[in-house]
Amino acid sequence: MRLSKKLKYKRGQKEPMDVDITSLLDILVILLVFLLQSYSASDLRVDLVENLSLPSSASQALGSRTVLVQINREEKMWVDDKYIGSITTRGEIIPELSEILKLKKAEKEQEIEKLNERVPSSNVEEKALEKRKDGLKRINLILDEEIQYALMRKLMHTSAMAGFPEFKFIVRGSAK
Amino acid sequence: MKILKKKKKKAQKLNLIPILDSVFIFIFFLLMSAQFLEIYEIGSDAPAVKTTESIKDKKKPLNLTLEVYRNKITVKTGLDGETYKTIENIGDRHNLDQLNKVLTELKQKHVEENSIILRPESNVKYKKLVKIMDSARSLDGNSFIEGTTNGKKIKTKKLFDQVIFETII
Repeated sequence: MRLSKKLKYKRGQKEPMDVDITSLLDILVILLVFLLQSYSASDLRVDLVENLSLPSSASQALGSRTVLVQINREEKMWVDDKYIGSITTRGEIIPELSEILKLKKAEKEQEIEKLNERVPSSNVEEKALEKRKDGLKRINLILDEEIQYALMRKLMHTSAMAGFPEFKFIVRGSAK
Repeated sequence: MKILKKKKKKAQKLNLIPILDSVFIFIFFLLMSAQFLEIYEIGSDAPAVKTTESIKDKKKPLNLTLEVYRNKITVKTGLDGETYKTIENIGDRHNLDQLNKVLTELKQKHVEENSIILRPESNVKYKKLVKIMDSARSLDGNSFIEGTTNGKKIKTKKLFDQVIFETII
C-alpha cells in the first residue's frame, strides 16, 4: 500500500495547491490609495537640479509642459534639464540663455507649422494643436527661493525678448 | 428505498484574476502619473503695449502698483501713481495681512479690475515676492467680494490675479 501511494505522489497526481492572495490584495489596495492621492492631471514633469529649493505658495494652478528654465542658488542655469552655464553678465540680457531660447522658439514654431499643414482628423487633434499654439509664448521658470529680483528681471527680460513673454513661476504647494 | 442525501455544497471561490490584472494596470498608470512633489504655477505676463483709437470708458483706470522694498510695500493707484497706502514691515517680514486688507478694500471699489503691477527693489528675494503675489491674488479665508461689472453681478474670491512685473522690457 505504502509503496503505491508513494508512486502516485511522484507521478504528480496531487491536488493543486491554493495560494492565499489576501495579503497581496491588501498591499495592492494600500498602494492604489496612496497612488490615487499623489495623482496629478498636469503633464508637467520636473526634475529639480542641485541646490534649488522652490518657494512655497498658496497657488493651486496646475502647470503645463513647455520650455523649462531652472536657476539654482549658485546662479547656474539649466534649460530643459541641460546645463547651460553660470550667469556672469552684468547687462540686462543673459546672452547664453537668449541664444538657446531663440532656438527653442524656432523649433516650436517649426513643429506647429508642420502640424498646421496636416488636416486634423479629429476634434482631439484639433484641440491638441490649439493647446500647442497657446503654449508657444509660455515659459516655465524654476528659481531658487533665495535669488534676488535683479536676477529675476534679467531672466524675464531675456525670455520676453526671445519670444516667451508669458512667465509661469513654478512653486511648491503649501496647504493653507 | 432511496435515501436522498443532502450534499454539502463546496463554497465557490471567486475568480480574482481579472480584477487583479486590472488593478496591476491601474497601478502602473498611476505610478507613471504620480507626482510626489506638489508643484503649481503662478502666471505673470510681460507688460504689453496696446494702442486704442478712442477711450470708451470714462472711468479712470485703477492702475494698481505695488512698490516692494525690503522694509515696506507702497500701494499706488491711478495714472499719476498716487500713494494710496504704505505698509511697513513687522520685524523683517512684510505685513501681508495688512496688504491683503488694503487690496480687498480696493477690489471692492473696482470689482472689474484684475491686474496688478509689481515694481520690486533689486534686492528683494524671490520667496518674498511669491508671498506678496499670493496675498495680491486671492482673498484670505472663505470670504467673497460681490459687485457688478458690465451690468452683470459677480461674486469672486480673486483679488488681482493678473500679475505684471514692471521694467522687464
